[in-house]
Amino acid sequence: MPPIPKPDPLGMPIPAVYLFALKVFGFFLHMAFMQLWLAGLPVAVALWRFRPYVAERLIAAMPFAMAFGINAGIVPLLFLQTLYPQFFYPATILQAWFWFLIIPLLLIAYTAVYLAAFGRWRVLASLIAALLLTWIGAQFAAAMTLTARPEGWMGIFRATATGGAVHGFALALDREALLRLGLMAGMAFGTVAAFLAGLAGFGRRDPELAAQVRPLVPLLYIIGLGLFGLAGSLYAPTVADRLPAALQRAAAFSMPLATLLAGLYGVRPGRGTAGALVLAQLGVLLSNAIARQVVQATEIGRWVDLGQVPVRGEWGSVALFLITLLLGLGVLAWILRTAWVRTREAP
Amino acid sequence: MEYPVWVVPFLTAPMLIPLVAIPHVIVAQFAVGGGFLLADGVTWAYRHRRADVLAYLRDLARFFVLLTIVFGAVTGVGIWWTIGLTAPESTSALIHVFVFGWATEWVVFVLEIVSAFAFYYLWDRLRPREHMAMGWVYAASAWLSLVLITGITSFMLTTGRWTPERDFFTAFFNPSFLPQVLIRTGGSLAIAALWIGVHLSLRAPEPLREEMIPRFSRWAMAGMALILIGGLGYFAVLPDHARLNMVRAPLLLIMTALNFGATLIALAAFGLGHLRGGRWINPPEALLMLLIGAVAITSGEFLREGARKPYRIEGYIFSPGVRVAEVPTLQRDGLIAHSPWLQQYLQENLGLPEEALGDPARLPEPQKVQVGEALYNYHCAACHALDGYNGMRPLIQPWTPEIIADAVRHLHRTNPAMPPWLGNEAEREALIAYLVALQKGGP
Repeated sequence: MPPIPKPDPLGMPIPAVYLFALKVFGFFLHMAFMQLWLAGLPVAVALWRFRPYVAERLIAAMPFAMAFGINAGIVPLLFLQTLYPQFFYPATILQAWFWFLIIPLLLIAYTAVYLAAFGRWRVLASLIAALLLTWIGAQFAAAMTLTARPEGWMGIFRATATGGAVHGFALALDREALLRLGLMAGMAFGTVAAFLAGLAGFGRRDPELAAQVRPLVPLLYIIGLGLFGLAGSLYAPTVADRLPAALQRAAAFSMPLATLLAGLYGVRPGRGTAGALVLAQLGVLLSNAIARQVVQATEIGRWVDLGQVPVRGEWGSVALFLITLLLGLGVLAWILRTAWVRTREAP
Repeated sequence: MEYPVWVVPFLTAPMLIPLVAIPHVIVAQFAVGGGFLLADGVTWAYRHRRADVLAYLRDLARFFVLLTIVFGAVTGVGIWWTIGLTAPESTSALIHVFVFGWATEWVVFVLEIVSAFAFYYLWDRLRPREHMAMGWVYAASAWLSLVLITGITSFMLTTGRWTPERDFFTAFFNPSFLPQVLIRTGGSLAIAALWIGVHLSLRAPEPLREEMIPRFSRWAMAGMALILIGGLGYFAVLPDHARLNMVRAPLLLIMTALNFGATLIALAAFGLGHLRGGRWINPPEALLMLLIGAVAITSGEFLREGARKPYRIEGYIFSPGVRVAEVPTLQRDGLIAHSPWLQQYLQENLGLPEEALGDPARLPEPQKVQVGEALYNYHCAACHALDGYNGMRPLIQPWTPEIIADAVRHLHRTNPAMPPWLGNEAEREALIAYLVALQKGGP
């Protein structure tokens, strides 16, 4: 039995099911933005030579993707630490230096993204950012794998404990973590393609961009589907028993379906097909976000029954959050509407 | 004690927190105060139809957005990252009390980012009223973010009437909440004026500097007034042990002096800026003033952290990560009995028999020292590196074995910033054996 700490004695602020729903929502949001940089940067590096115009548009979007991706990443981590602190902290402490390293690496990558966006050493800066962010993704996958696999803790602890404390130089980057990174990268190519189709269809009128994006969208989807299919076919059997069949099917077949739509976009580009593709890709992300969170919850559920953890009923603070969210959405809608209107006017 | 411990040589793991937190605070406070200064500057420039001021502010906004969004946001997440690694029990407690406070802060953080981007990237496209409104939305959301985070950080120093049965709002509106909001708001305005002073000295033509420095200095002087009012309130609500720490610990005394000194120098500089405009300031002076401002913030943060000892969360969790309510149980059963990771280490890595864990004092000396070393890592290493920060080896070097034994026996009475001994008698003997061996040059 691994030395799993007891649940926090303060108990859950509200029933776990709500916290889980918020965690899924946050993970979905994070995935949408994070995938833009995960595949967007390597795609931009590849396109600088052959399609510099598209690469430039992609890179211009990266600072925003980074800002919102990092920001949205706070949400699932916050609720993960509320639901499963006794799993998450030991897993990251055992890999402490690698987990800590994410912060300086992220700073460097973020700076490189801005350098590329401002036109300084564009190829080199995008390449550095792409490599660092992929590495960060791998470290994340490793941390989340170990969070859900306490049976792996003691092996690392025995190998890295000095005087009873860990030195933190372990990295649990195993096959499963790499396969999940592959799945994420596969979906990410689709997200980038859908983003480009959306930009060409709904952004400022730009015939050149639309012409260049048209053959790229199906191509990116095919690359993404290849990666997704390869990683998925190796990963899915290992978690088949932890996922309801309907969810399994939704997560697996949403990507091929979106690829078919991408093919249609290649034949008949326009607002209709672009819109459908963006919606389909959001479906890919949502079904896979739910599937991933369910798998994690099932894996951790082998060790703890959240139903047994007392609930404090912190509804006052939930009300504060919801009221702020409502007001915030109002202000956000005003900002986005203003930005939408003004960017469409002639400069 | 239920979590594994990460030991960082020379520094101690918790000292990684200020390495991330202090640069973050210096930038994050600029993000808050700078929001007000920029919004005010843009409003003034539009109302007086000053294209030259708007052109300068656009240049400033670019620097501002880059620094605060990239560095401020990543290091902000970084603090959270680091506390989870170095103080998991306390982080878990904070998250379980404040999860929806953090979620609320996330909402205002989204607004902060979106409005900052709109403010800068749509500079030429927004109508003046929209642009001004965008600036003020940014300033308000950045300040709300400060308020929400201050509710959480101030709770760690003054839990007030909170008990585990009480709700979020009792914890949030703790005794030092309001004073700290005032101090941080004031500090934000002051440090923003100093950051902008550097930018002005480097990027603005002299006539513009003449005009802008008094304007920004006024904000900063209002900030200094808030710091003064908040500071008085802060000292009034400090718990007794925190006041005692500030007087007893030489390092905290030095930090107090630095804090007061740097704040006074900054006040004088703002006064001078207000009276004499930009004539007196050039890039090296502006940088020096920013450095002085950074010293004030650093020493203030250090004081806030240091004064809290022996607690991580006042009255609830001690520095080694043990809840106050658990102390009698640990003292009765022993720390090892309640530290599964420590048990695993002693049994599997050192091969000690299970029955020996209950009474390590009866082990042969070399094994007793090994147990003592492990206890040291769980009980002491969060605040004392072996060598380096708060180094144990140099600390006990001049001590005799009797003094070492006495200090460990009367840990809390010898120094009120220390927690009580959190294990049983036999474990205390093992720790003493380790410290004596350490002092003699081993183990």
